[in-house]
Amino acid sequence: MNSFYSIEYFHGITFEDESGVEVETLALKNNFKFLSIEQFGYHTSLYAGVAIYHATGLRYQSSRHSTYPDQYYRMGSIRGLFYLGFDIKLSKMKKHLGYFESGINDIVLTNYLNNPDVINPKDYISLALGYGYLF
Amino acid sequence: MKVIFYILLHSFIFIPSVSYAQLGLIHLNKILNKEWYLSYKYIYDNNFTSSSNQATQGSSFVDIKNSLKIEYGVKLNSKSQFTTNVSIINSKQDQISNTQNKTHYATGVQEPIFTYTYYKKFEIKEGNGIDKINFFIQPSLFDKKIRTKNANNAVGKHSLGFEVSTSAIYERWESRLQFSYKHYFHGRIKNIESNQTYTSNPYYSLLLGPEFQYRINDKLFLYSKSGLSLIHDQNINNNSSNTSELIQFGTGAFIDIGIKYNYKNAIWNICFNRMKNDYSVQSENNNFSGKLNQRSFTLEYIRLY
Repeated sequence: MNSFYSIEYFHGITFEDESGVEVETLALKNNFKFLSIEQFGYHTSLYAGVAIYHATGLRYQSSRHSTYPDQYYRMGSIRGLFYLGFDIKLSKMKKHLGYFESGINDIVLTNYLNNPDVINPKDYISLALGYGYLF
Repeated sequence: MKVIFYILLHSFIFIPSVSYAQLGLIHLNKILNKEWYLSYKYIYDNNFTSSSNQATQGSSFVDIKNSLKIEYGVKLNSKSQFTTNVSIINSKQDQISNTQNKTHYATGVQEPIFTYTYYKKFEIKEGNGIDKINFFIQPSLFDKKIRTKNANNAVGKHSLGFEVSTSAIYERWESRLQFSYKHYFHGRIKNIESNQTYTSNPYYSLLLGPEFQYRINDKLFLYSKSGLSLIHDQNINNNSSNTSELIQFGTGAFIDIGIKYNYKNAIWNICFNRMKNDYSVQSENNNFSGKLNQRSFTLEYIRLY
């Protein structure tokens, strides 16, 4: 979109062999870049963001879990993942980049606020290491 | 540890250019730059519906459809066009269960869809695109009959809706965001085999998703569409036994991948589609749930005049 904000769209499938049931997820990743440095032939950026995602299907509809007690698992159709990220690319080859991201799901934060003695958010931090190509 | 295979369809990054061939219908938000066109479409459609609880004895349906769809489009003025299409469908439905297997055939013409398109903006140059809105209507002209030789492929209910979409065009890439709403009126289905009539209450469906197209050269284009569908709960009433069922589909996902070939005044288009939905059925004496998997293959030839 611009040098500060960018958006990415994902369509993901977790196959039945991996999770018992096939899960299909659509996600919209919102990146907010707050620092960019060009030094020693490398271009690096730091960014934060939230990935808003939805897992399709009836089993994730919040209306079907309305009988659950308050402050139990707050099931919802649309969820969020908050993350911090870092990417690096060679100044001469700006189409190729490597990135590292670390994030936590909103449901973990919600459950931590409701049950701080039971849940340690550090146990649920996710990490991602990847490569990207800019078309 | 779960392994998630993400298909990164495309990021937002495009390379803008000042020149782009004005190819009209090849664009994602099709523009008719000739007076009219005819499209001939062959569609192979495979729907697999399964359920796996005791009440339904693990039954499944395999519904295979072979369709020929002919579409006519005409330019009304510089900002609008009109299209209509009609489908001839041959379908074969296999019902498979632990106790018995049945096969049903149906052949017939499906009612036409009439579409009016208004273009709010179209600028095929650097960073611009096409914004448009479609209004469509499909009337129900015949009784929908299922089972036995006299079954047909009528739609069984009137429907109308609209689709809004906006696109951006660059040198190699083109993107489009689409939202559509469809309203279905009261429906009526006759089951000839059991001599029962079912009626359905009005409901709606929504579709939302992006589409991307990559120009390999001036003749070849690769495209992909993906997104979310939502079908509202449906009430089906059995008029003979005075009972009703509630069918829930919830949200589903779809993926299209295709290639277009543009040659002179014609376009060839090949597309593969996958769509998936959960469903659940609740009635007074039988509740069950399952999956609906749809896969289709489309071969299209468009001729501009």
